[in-house]
Amino acid sequence: MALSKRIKITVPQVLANSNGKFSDSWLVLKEGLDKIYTDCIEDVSYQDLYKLVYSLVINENGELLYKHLKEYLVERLTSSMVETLMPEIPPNQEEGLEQTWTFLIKFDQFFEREAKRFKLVADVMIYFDKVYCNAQRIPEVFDLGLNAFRDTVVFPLKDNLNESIIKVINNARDEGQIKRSFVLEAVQISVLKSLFHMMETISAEKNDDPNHFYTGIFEPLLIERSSEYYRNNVDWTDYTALQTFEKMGAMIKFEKAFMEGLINPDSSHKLIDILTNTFVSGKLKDILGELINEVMTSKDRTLLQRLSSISEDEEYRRDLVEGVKDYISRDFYSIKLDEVTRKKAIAAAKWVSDLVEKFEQYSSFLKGAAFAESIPSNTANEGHSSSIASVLGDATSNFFADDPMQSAQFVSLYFDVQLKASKPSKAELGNVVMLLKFLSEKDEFVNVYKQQLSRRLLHQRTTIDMERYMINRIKDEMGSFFTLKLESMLRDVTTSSELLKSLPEHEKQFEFIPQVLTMTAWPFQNLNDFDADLILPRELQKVKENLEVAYNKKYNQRVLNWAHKLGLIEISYRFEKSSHDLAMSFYAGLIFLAFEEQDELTTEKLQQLTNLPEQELVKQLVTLAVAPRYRILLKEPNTKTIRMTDTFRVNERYTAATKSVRIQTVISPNTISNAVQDKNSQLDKERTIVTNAAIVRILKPSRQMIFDDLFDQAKKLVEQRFTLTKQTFKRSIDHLIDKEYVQRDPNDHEVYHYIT
Amino acid sequence: MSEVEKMEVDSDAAQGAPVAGQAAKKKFQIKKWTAVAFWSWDIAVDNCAICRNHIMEPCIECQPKAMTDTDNECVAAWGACGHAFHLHCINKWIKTRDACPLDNQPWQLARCGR
Repeated sequence: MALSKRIKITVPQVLANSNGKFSDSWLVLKEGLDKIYTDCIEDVSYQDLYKLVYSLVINENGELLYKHLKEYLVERLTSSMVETLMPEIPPNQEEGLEQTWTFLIKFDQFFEREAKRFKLVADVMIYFDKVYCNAQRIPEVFDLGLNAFRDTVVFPLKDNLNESIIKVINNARDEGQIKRSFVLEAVQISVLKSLFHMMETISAEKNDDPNHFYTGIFEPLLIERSSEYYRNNVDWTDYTALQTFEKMGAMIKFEKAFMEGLINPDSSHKLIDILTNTFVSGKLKDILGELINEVMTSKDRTLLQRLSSISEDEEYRRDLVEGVKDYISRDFYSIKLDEVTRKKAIAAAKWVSDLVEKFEQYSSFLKGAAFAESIPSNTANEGHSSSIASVLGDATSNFFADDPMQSAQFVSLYFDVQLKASKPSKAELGNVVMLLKFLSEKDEFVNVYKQQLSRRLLHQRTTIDMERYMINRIKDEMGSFFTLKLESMLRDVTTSSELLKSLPEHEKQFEFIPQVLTMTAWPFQNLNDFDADLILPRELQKVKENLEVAYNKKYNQRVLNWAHKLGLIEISYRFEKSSHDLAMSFYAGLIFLAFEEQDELTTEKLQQLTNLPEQELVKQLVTLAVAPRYRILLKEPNTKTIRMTDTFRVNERYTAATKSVRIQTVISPNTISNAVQDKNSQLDKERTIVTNAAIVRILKPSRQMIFDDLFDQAKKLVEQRFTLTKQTFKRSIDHLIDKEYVQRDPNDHEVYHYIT
Repeated sequence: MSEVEKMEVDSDAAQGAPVAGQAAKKKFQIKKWTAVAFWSWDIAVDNCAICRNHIMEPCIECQPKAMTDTDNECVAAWGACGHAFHLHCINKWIKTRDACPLDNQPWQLARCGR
């Protein structure tokens, strides 16, 4: 058709039959066409026919000619089809494959021949095409022929044709599964391709339908039947999950190669998508869990990559990601916490180091797997690079969220144990710092850490360098809000040791470590008022006064308030059998040192000598004389309770396995629970303050808000610090209403207003 | 208590300690004292009304560098009116308005505290 258009159209010199009747002219023309249809092309006089057509058009017989031509073509096609094609139609689809092939080959040949004839006819009618068809905007002669072919041949035989093609394709698939290679011969492939080409040439519906038969009719059917085939004709029994997945891969690969050689790329893509989706939403969904287990237990990166690259389906990928997260969380849960041991801190530290070990393993595993690409964009909203972290991070967060308080405490305990160890490893500590961001109750962590840091610093159980390193790492990970107080604590300790240097050298009869602290930074409350009135042994008193003088020289407008409650003293004593360095609380030290001057003292006398209040005195005496662990002092009478008249003296026969003995003040159980309560109420107080600020910050610009919205926004604002509960939130709201920052709407109690 | 080894306290010092006539005993020897004290201004203070940080702590400008830069001290300042602020904060304030932010009296620096 394209060729014929290029022929230059010349106006015939002699207009034969120019005034003749149409029917006469048509008869002549028909005769010529008959010759084309009987394959006597050499007898056709192109010039005569051309002239004829020209004159018909000139005499405005175009419409008639078109009608007659159409009828003629249909008639010819019908008889030709009945003659050559009908006998080959397989009576039903159960017929043998050979017959199906014969039908397809005949069909193809039939089309080839008819198309050639249309072309010849069109060549003759070229003037008609140009002048009449184009002007009338109706299909040109060749297209007229194709449309006739479609209506007369293809549509009536549509089902036979489609089913036959699908049959041979499915058969090739069957064979392919068994032989794992392509079974179609080159000829067969070219027949199919030529048929598809035919389908792409003719239109699907009416003449102006933009879809051609292939995309409009055949392709949907092929897709439907293919997915049916893959759903029903694959037998998965006896396959393990892994084998199933392997087979799916092989099938997809086969299908890809097969279809790419057969149909157009567009269509083969669609087909592959359908195929994978059939797997993904069907069988693969069932075995995904098993496959993830396989991936994670054998650390099989390639398999993970294949799992993630098999489909881009969002739901599938989310399932995959969630599955991996789930597996990791479950694995974390398998970490055992030694609950039997008395050394709780060691057990907690072990738990954390086990956790971080697993975390590191998964981190390096997932990083190498380039798994990130598989995460749907909505989960990884910060771009791909962060998605590995987000898979592992989510898993860790979920795991921590199970017992958020305990997690926060354990992580802090880990640091405590590590930092007190003789040689803490910066790398290991750094790894655990990475876990901090997954804690939901970060404020709890910081509070516990602060407590432990204060003890480490005051008891010199750590080095300033290490602590500084840790604080910097925590700051990097969680922000400076959390570390301001910690830094301030460290600064106090550093300035205190500077201060010590300014004391005169000769007065250092023993190691004196003054710690001058800033009240607001340290986690100590309820200091004892009686500390100022204690009677200190002269040598201690002198050192203390020296320090006060030095301090006042440096800071002239400050006052020092001693907190002996936090003090610690180490006293060496020569017992009968051995000498020991006894480290104890400052109060216990005061009591013990009282025996330097007298061998035997009553409770009452001890109180006079030290000026300790009775309650504190009794507590320390219980530790020194009653508790079975130390027994530094002997009590007379030897009973469990302390009376004012009881007498004490040093237990000269005391001995211990190590030279250094640490005497820990015995604490009664209800003191501990009080301390826990104090700590919790302290945490609540801090949280309320933060929540108050958050609410005001939200409500101030928006003036009014519904309870739920306000809660959600406040929760978001504080989530970097802790998880806001409704309880804390309500308490905070009540507080703000009391203080007249906020007002409930008188008509709607759900609405809150900001008061200006 | 690994510190014990390095703590060679000379016995002279122990003898020199006042033992009230019972020098023969010498059984007691103080090795180490960790004494804790809290400092405070000699006038009670609260938060700095300008930056809202506690006056015992550095002002909000100094806070970030307080850890590294210990020399640069952030001091407190008392006005004649008795109100206290960080010196940094009040200095900035009086540039725009030379009055105590709390009582509107003309600002007069009474003293600085270190």
